[in-house]
Amino acid sequence: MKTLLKYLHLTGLMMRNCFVRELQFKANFVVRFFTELMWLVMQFIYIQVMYGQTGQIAGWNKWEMIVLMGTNYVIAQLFEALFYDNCVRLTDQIRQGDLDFNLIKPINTQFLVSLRYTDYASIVNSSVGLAVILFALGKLGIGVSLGGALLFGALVLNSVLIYYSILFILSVWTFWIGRSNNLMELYWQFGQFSRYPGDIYPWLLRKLLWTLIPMLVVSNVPAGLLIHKLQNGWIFYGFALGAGFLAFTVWIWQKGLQRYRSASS
Amino acid sequence: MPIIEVEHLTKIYRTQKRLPGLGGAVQGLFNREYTEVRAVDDVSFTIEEGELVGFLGPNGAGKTTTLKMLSGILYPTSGKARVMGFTPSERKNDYRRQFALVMGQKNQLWWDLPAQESLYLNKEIYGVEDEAYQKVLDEMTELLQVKKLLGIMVRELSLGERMKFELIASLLHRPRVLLLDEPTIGLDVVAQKNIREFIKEYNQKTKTTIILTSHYMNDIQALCDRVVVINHGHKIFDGRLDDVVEKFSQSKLITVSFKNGNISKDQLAPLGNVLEYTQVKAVLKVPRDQVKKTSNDLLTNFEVDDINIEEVPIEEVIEMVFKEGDQ
Amino acid sequence: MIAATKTSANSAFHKYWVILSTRTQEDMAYRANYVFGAIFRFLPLVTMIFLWWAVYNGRKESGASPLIGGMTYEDMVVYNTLMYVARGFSSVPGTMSDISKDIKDGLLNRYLIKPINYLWYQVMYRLAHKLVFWYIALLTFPPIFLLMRNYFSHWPTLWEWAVFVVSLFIAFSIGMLFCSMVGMLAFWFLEISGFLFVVMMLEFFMSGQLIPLNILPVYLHRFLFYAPFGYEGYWPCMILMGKVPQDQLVPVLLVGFLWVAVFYGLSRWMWNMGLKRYSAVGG
Ligand SMILES: Nc1ncnc2c1ncn2[C@@H]1O[C@H](COP(=O)(O)OP(=O)(O)OP(=O)(O)O)[C@@H](O)[C@H]1O
Ligand SMILES: [Mg+2]
Repeated sequence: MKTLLKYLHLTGLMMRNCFVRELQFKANFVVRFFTELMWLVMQFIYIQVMYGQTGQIAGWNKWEMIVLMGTNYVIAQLFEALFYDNCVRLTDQIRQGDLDFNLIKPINTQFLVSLRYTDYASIVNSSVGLAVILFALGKLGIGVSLGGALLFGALVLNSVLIYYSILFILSVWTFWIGRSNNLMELYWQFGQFSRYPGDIYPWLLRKLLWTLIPMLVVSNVPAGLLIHKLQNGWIFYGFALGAGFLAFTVWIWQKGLQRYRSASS
Repeated sequence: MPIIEVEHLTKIYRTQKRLPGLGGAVQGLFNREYTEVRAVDDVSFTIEEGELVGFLGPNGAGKTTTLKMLSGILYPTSGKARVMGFTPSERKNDYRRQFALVMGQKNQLWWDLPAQESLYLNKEIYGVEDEAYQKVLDEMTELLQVKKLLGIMVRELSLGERMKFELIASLLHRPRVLLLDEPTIGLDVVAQKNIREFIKEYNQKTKTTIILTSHYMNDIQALCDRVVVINHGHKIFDGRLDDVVEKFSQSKLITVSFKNGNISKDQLAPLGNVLEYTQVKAVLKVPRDQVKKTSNDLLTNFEVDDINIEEVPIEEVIEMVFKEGDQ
Repeated sequence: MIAATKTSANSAFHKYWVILSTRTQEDMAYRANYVFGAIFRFLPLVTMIFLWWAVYNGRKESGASPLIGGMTYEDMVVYNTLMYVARGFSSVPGTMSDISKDIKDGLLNRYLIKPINYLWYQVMYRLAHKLVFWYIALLTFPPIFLLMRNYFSHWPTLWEWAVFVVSLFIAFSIGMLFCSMVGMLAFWFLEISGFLFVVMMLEFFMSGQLIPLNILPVYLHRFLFYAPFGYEGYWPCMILMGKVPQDQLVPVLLVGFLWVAVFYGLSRWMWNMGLKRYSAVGG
């Protein structure tokens, strides 16, 4: 308990530091916000054009699809706010030997490298995503109970951690392959899979996306909860999978560190 | 019991060999050859608590690699290191709370924030009490004369100022073992001296065990009683700095001045290697075992005003030691 | 290759060749990176194909016509695959940000004192990237096309092939020139890195990479048909698929060349104006 408090306190401290830092780059903040917003608008146009051609896609109507889009957006933005920068930086740190000082601190190194930078623009953006979800739910005439909202929150957090685990594992690969900028791009490419209902994919791919590369767990489970398209078993499955992935990151991180070369002096 | 024990420590880096040119790059896509660099090769030594030991060696000798293994940053390929009873590569929190590493070429402070923010973060990470923190901070900023700079963005600090904060950041938790890798690199003479004196005082006051690497002999001479000389990953000397000279320099310098200035260079040549010559004064380099005889000869054969026997300057000896290792 | 290097040692082109080959070597040093990149590049295609399948399926179930914008499902798959070929020529990732960074951080000086033309240097540099891309792509594209051979309902005529090749040249030129121009905006505006993403997204959309332009609402596609960005994706694909009527092939190319000329002039002009400003400010 005491350790947990200490780590929470340190997280707060690092987030504060980033905030102070961010205040120096205000213009950047605004630009980032609008860029991400535009991305959302473009997805919206895309869905609009698709549903201009048909009334339903794999059994989902337009507003259900928009709930999915919003959920996915919230999760992606939260992930980008907390972890994406850190994962990208991690690949550079591994390659350029900048992990040294993180390694000698008397504290969990994975924690330190994973939460050092926070992107505040993305936090703001995630609230836009939330608004989109609420709007679409209104169109569908679906209400959400407090319990449902809390469970949704927990699932979103779980999804963020799954994203984190996948990206972290990819970053840690740098220990083995020497460079992995392309691997970081995988986030954007894997991310595509989570934007749509799982049923559009053929059997094998669908199974894969529910297990090894759990991009459907990430988006379809929380969104499915909101629009009642989900059996309860999947919720439990989602949490279990999240825990499993997180445990794996810890293991592979330790393995990777043994290969750390601390380059450039 | 020694605070640092190193036995047969070895680190081998495996790097990919690349053939030159585009053809080589294409070939590299399909098969790769590796070369091995034995950065640290079977090095052993022990260090007692409170000692201040200097690591000497030319570029690429393996000094930094050794320090990194002692910090647990790198896993040794083979051999053992124990510091304060811990194995560094296990990276136990208890161990990491008790040592510090400062590297002149890397920085740990947050670039876009004032130094004090990084210091405070370090305080929290190391779990230093508020009072102790305040005390150390006051003391050190005073000593290093950087109190006024605490609120300045790190990226706007000069190299020397930043180095001082790096030192402070590493000392907040009062480590028992301090590893300093070229802490004075790139600094001007004043800043160098400043930091040098700080280290000396700190070592004497707190009895902290310190390992220091530096390419500036001034640092080593002023600070270290004991030096470990490394070349090509091998330890080639371990002992008092003065003994390096004795062991590696086969000659001494004899400076003589003459009463009347009509001695020619040719007259001196048989006695030793004439390094400097004016009509009234000369410097001769003479093998160690010949010193006595030569000075006798000088005193008897010439009208000597003054004679002075010295060791060869340390820089030259070290240069020689480094070169020797290359052969 | 070595022989070629030697004989051209004195030609002006030689230095660009060295740039090109150095750059390529740099890229190849990271083998795994490239192999992964080449494979995973196709992931979006996979989602795209299945999403379209679901859309066509939805139409079938509701009894609507099986054509969207005159394209069958198979056509849609082919379109999205060919898009990779087209974008493989027209997209020059990193150009905008590199140029703007060079300008902003004063790194331009490094090039200005060397006897090379900066913009040509950039072209060579990107060409090197493309070279490696195609080197790897030659391993990945053929199996994919083979896998999809039944989807191709139209075998292009010789004339269409020729027009297609020319359109790829237009694609690269427009992509390269456009990115350079956006990058050069850094002469006038200090911080454009955030803005670059917006531009890239617009390019993504207007080139027809996201949705074929002819499916968009009429008021949009009327305009986009004549815009330069269609040449970065939409037109090369449609030409090879035989979806551009024979009598329009030449006019389409002519409009493309017109845009290349306009962009070329514009970029020269921006470069000259920008450089004046750059040296006035002191870089
Ligand atoms: N990450 C690495 N990968 C491969 N080889 C390395 C790496 N780090 C160091 N080396 C090699 O190991 C040897 C020892 O390097 P090290 O940095 O320990 O030397 P040093 O004594 O600190 O030198 P300097 O005085 O230049 O700092 C060198 O030959 C170097 O090329
Ligand atoms: Mg070193």
